[in-house]
Amino acid sequence: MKKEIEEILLKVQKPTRYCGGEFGSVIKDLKNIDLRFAFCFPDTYEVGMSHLGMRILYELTNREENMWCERCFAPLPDMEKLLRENNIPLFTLESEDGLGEFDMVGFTLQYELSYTNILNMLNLANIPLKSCDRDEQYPLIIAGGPCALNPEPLADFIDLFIFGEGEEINIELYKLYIACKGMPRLEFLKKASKLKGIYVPSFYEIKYNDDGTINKRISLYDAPKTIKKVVVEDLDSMFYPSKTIVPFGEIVHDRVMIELFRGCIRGCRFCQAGFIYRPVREKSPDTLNAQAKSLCETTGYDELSLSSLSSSDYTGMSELLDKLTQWSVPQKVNLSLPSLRVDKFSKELMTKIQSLKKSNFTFAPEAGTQRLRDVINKNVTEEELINTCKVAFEGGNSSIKLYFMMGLPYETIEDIKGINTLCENVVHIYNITKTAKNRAVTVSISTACFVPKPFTPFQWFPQNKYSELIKKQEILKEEITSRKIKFNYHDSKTCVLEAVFARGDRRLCKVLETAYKSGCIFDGWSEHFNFSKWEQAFLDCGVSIDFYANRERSYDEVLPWDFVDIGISKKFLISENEKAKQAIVTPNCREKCSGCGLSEGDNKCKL
Amino acid sequence: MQAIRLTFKKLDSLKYISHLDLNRLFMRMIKRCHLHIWYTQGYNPHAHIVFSPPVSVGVSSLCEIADIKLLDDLEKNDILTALNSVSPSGILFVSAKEPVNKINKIAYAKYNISIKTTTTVKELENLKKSDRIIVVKKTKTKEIDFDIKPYYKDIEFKEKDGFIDFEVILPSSNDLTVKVDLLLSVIKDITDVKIQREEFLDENFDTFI
Repeated sequence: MKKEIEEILLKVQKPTRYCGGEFGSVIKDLKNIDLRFAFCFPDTYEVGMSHLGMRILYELTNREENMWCERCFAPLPDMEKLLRENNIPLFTLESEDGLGEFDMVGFTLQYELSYTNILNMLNLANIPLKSCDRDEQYPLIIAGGPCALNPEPLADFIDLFIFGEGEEINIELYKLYIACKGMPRLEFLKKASKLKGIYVPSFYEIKYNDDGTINKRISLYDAPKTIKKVVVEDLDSMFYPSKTIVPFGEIVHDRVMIELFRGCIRGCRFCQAGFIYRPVREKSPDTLNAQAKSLCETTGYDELSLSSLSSSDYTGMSELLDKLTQWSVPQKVNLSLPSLRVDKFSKELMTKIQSLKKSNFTFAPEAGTQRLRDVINKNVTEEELINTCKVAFEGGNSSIKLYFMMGLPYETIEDIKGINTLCENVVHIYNITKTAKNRAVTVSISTACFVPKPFTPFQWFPQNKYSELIKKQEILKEEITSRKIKFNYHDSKTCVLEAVFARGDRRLCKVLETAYKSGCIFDGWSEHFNFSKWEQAFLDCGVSIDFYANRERSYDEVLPWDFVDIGISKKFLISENEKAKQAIVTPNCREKCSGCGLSEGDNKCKL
Repeated sequence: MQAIRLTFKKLDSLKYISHLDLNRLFMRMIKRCHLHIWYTQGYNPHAHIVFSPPVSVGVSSLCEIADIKLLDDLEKNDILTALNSVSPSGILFVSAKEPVNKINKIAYAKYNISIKTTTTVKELENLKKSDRIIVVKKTKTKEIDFDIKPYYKDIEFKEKDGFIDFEVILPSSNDLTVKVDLLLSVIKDITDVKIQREEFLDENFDTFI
């Protein structure tokens, strides 16, 4: 370990966040390496190490003999202070070299509120923030992940974005980089922009209308007008790690994760993940069983999580659970299923999971009334929810957590009050269900404020004003009279900022930089979030929050992310929004194809 | 079932992991190399491992001990090889033996310390002349004044390459534990420090086995 780093580690909280050396971390000999890649997660170690995508791409890259992928996370303020005081550049956990010494520095964009951390990490590594201020002596700064699909708010800072699934394109990009070593950066970027799924923001100029909306995009250097998201066609033959890093300290998701499938058949109209990860592709139970077994063996973890969106839609679930429990029970490995749907929840499934570990039950009806659930296409009926709660209560549970959203499109006061009515019905069902234990029931409600996202049918919708959201919270709070219903809510303006950046364009780069320079970091963390600094930054840059968060877009407006082709047609999104207005539901993809656009083209949907 | 005493080194970045993390690490290492160890038979069964007194975060060690009860019939050398094949670099198993004394017979620990300070050896020697050297020792519930002179008086300070090196023996038992930090709190202006636990001693100051 480097001496100067060793000296500061004893002065920080949880030094294991920064010291590396975990079982499974990869150390290579630099003399065999042609490409050094720093995988950066713009949040803490505990959050970043819980991210499955990072673990997959880490192993994928390190499988290449001449490439070395290392990890770097956002330091907390105590560590940041020591790094700055001692002039130590932000370093990776493996070689402890500063980020400036790498060929490529890659950020994963999981949520909008991590953007200031990206700037802070670059700054801590003495790398200029803007692409235009960096020449070949600095690393190439790249980014990918779900938020990269609207890359424009980061256009000034990132040299190149990757749209879609890294398994498909990353290694090809790295190989191109190696082949282009010694060339001017511009030449490399020109070549890279010809690859599938690669977007070079500096190759485009944006013209605006007088009202502030986008007029058109002009491509330079013959760069493609639209860029397609890349997807892996077959998940069974796709690379999946058979080993992974085992952290020392407890991280947020401290367990083996396997991926049941990608995409989602549901099409809930508020859910970005439900659209951007299409088409639906499943892994076979045999593949999953083998991957789970090998990961549990090589890591020594005693918990296995079956992850996906809406896991109970996995068609091979019962076969998979049979295979898994054959070895997981004798080896004392617990199973967890984090994403269950209310309508598909069965007694059998519960017994299988519960035989191992008692878990809490959390369901997400999202809206309080049937009408609003139909608006958002959350195809769950009250009856199904009540039945599910009944099954859980009969199994001995006396507490249930329910998630709702507020500020959904076409929402009325009745819908807000309906949340309470629904919860009262759940309390009632507990009281009339015979349960093993004679305890009082607790129904906890958590509400989140709705943030309209790109590539969803609600991408044109104006977010509720902050004051409206607060009013709705107050209404619900007053409505709840039962002491058995607990209402958790937070009065946070983060949802406003999230809405701005989710649907933002490149004029926000300036705001981001200004806010960062005024001290904003870790905006997703309530203890660090400072909205007044943000407001000041918007004011200083002459950029309006309302324009991005609270303005209704028309269907013919050029949206900042329109040039990204995720395979789903705008026509389909429009028809979904029109159906939402009339509270008409769309069947799930297995019942009936609704023609989202993926039935044609390269990344064909096979359902 | 055989009782096995594992002795291991805790070095490099592994010196930053806490005792709780070490415990978790052991559970996973044992699972990774397919050793079967005895689980407690209570309501919430867990793998039974008895560790030597925890070493402070930041202190490396050459002499950590973990006692396990092994259900497999394995050669002690094979156990050692198996564990070393699944341990992170920084944890090195040096021996697997049958335990002689119980862990609670550990009375003292010997440390090797190297400090960089503006305090001179002469000043450090002078301190020995005081009748008592009082430091504030924090317990779970209160702070007490503690006389550290009995452990300080026999230290031999040596100067080497700008560092002051010395060895010290401090109590490390259930009744009384004195951390190295407490001893170092009497020395002013330490800018750099390296501490390594060298060995455990029993109540007669003999090497603990």
